[in-house]
Amino acid sequence: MSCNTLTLIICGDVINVGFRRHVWRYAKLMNLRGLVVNVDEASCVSIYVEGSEESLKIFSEKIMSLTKSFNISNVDMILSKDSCKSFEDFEIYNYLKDLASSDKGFRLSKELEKILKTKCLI
Amino acid sequence: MINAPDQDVLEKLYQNMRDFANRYGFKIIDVPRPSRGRLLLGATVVGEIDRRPPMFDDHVKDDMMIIVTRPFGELAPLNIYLASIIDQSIINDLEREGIDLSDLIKAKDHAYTTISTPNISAAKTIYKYLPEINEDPDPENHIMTTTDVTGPGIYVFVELAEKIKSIIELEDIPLMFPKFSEFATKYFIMPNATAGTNGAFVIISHRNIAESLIKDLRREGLEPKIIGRILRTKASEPRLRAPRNIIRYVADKKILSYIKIY
Repeated sequence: MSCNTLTLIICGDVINVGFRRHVWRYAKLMNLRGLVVNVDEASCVSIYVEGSEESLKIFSEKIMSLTKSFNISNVDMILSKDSCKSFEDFEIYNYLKDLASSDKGFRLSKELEKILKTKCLI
Repeated sequence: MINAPDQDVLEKLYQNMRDFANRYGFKIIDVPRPSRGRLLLGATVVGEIDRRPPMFDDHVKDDMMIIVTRPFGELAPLNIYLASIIDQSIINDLEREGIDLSDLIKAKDHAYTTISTPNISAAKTIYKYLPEINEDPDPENHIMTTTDVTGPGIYVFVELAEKIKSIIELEDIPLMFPKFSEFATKYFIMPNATAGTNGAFVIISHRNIAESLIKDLRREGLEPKIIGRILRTKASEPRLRAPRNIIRYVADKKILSYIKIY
């Protein structure tokens, strides 16, 4: 099944400051599925969500509104149409390796790693 | 260990830390500090005990009591307050639920006071129910095991069940601020609104001493409560059974999946 997906990579002072909690809140309020994970080595978080084009647009605006309250140095946003990863919920992960070892997260963790490497973040 | 954006703040923090340590008779041991240029506070507390610490998991028996030294979930008003500074729509949500901002501020201040007070009185009471260093633990007269309800909140009972290989049944989930824990769950402010810090202690003891333990804890100004019991030890599938109202306080489905809700 094909999905609209949004991948965000947000860098700055975003680790262990409650940033992921806000991302989780917006995703849950909008009933979106996916995850947010720390990328410690790059001082970034990665966000992956699936949903309608419209909901992903609203979600990205909400996430961008957080940049006023946190010290953000860089934001990368990738909107695409991809195969669904069938997440049943929106979850918070501490590390990419936790995501890689989860049932559904292995493929996504590899994709995120590839994006992070392309952008020279890891 | 402290770190701060500038020397003035660092000095102020250090003075506060010294005052706090003096108040409770603690000795500060200086360690090298990372100069990260941002606010960072951390403490590892080392204590000494001349009795056997309550780590007698193998002596836990069926029908022993689960006691908490006070209600937990104190992080709910703190998280709502901090989240509302970043996202002001939360203030509207509070209004919609008929909650006054002044109530939130009052609860937040109460939570701050609670978590900044060391659990010394609870620790002293627990000490009274421990065996001497050269004594065998007596399951009917000593506390068998303890843990603290911190960040994981209700999930500590899942961890405890696994650690002592038992089925734990809770009949009550005593929260300091149930109204705010429920709000934090409903509006997805916290995945687990039963979380605390510097939290309540969980005690497992025989029912013979539960009553006097509770009396002693009350005398220290705490709000202890028997909240459940050990349903079965040596369980092949250790688990936590908790009442249905837990879903009002935990939004994280992963955490709920570890709990058998009845």
